[in-house]
Amino acid sequence: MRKFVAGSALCLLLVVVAAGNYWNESKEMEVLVILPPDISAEELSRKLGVKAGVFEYRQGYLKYISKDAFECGDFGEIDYASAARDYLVKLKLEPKLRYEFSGVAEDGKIFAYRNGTIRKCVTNKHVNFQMYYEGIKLIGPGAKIRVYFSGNDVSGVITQLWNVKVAGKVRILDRDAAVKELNGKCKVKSIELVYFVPLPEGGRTYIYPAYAIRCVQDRVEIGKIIPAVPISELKEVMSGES
Amino acid sequence: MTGRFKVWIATLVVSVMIATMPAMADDTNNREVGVEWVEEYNGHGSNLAWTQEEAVGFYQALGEIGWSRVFNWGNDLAWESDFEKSSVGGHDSIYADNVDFLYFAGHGNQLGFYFGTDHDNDDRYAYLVHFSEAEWGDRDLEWAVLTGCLILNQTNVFDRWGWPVFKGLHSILGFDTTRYDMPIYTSSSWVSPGERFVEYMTDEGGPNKITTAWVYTTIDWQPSGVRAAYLSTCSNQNDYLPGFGSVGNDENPPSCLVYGYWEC
Repeated sequence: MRKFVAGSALCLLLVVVAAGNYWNESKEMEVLVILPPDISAEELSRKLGVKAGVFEYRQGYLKYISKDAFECGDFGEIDYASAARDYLVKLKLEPKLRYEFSGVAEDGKIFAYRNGTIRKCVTNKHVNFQMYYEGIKLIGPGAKIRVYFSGNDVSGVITQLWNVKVAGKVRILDRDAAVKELNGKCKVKSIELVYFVPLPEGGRTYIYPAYAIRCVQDRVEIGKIIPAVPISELKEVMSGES
Repeated sequence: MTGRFKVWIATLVVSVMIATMPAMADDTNNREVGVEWVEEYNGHGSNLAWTQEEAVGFYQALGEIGWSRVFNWGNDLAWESDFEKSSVGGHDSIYADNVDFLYFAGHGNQLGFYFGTDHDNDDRYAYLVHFSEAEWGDRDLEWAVLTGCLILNQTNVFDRWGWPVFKGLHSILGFDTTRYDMPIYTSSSWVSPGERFVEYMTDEGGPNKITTAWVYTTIDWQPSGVRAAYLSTCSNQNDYLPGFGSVGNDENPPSCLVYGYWEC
């Protein structure tokens, strides 16, 4: 019995120490800045096989979506996940950060006629990949890695060709502080610590820790992205880095 | 008297005049825009941070290309009755259905979209424009953007926002799922999604159809996992902004509706 009590106490102590270490480690995170690649729009134009004006390319953010991607099409049974990865590898459009397959989804249209007939079509199948930095998910409009298919052919791609460097470290606000930003009335359904990536346009692009929150109040749900760092510290890192 | 009340009195006079006129579409000017937005919900929903920028950006951007800016009401001055049909005590004939392009930014769910004040004249759905209270296009409205979460959720969408609502209306643009309350965050700043939407519709490299412009806007705006949508008559899904391409005729009642959905 004494052995059991001693053993339990030791386990409890180890858990407390481990949790303490984890907490201390997770109290600071890096702020990252995007480093654009040395690839010209002309080179991408050749790779994609489309004119330069047809796709968007800024700081390594590449978005090309053919108009076919949103029109009804016929789809075979192909391994879209492998085809998408092969496409990114073959054209050297893979992100520099670690990324993983996260799913195949489809967009579509549903037609309804006054006589009650319903007709559905698929407009594209697209493969999503999730980027990570040090095990933390990157989310936001500048974090998408996606390959669109119309039929068996690629009809679009969104990818990130930039690399990152560390701009500085910031203190991470705990979840309770983030939830307080919701004024306490919006009931939290989910909360996740992520790296938020804005759309690369204009000046230097910073990637910073944020909480992605979904909450419900009075029957209505909303998503919020709340910086997980004190804004003053974030600004300090950004101004110091530039 | 508040500015809102004075305008309301003036528009009431106009509405009496309109009520005495035969029902007809006002297409003498097909470039009129009206927006409403709510950030302060007065305890009837969580406050939002970016809906003003969203809707007003749209309003200003259309104004800059020559559209008539007809109304821009926010927070307590945004009223649900402005969107509701007269048979439920609403005044859509002088607000929502008296412009060509309408934009509402605020909370929503499958039932409709929400306001921070109660201006429900038949006391059925306070703070809410319930889908059963909307009939649009019988006077003027062609396109409505309703950016609240889940308003265009796929479940029963044709019976909620489709057949009962489309009375000459061309399209409703919105979201199938919950979305994030944020602007288009860019490298060093932010852009109004409403403004970006206008940019895509009027793109110098080649204007996009209204529905396509909405697809591109939502992809720039929201993270993966969020799904956006539009509901349109089949003959109007290819409309362009007037002056930038063809616009289909009003259809009342429509023979076919199409619901397009995509991941942002």
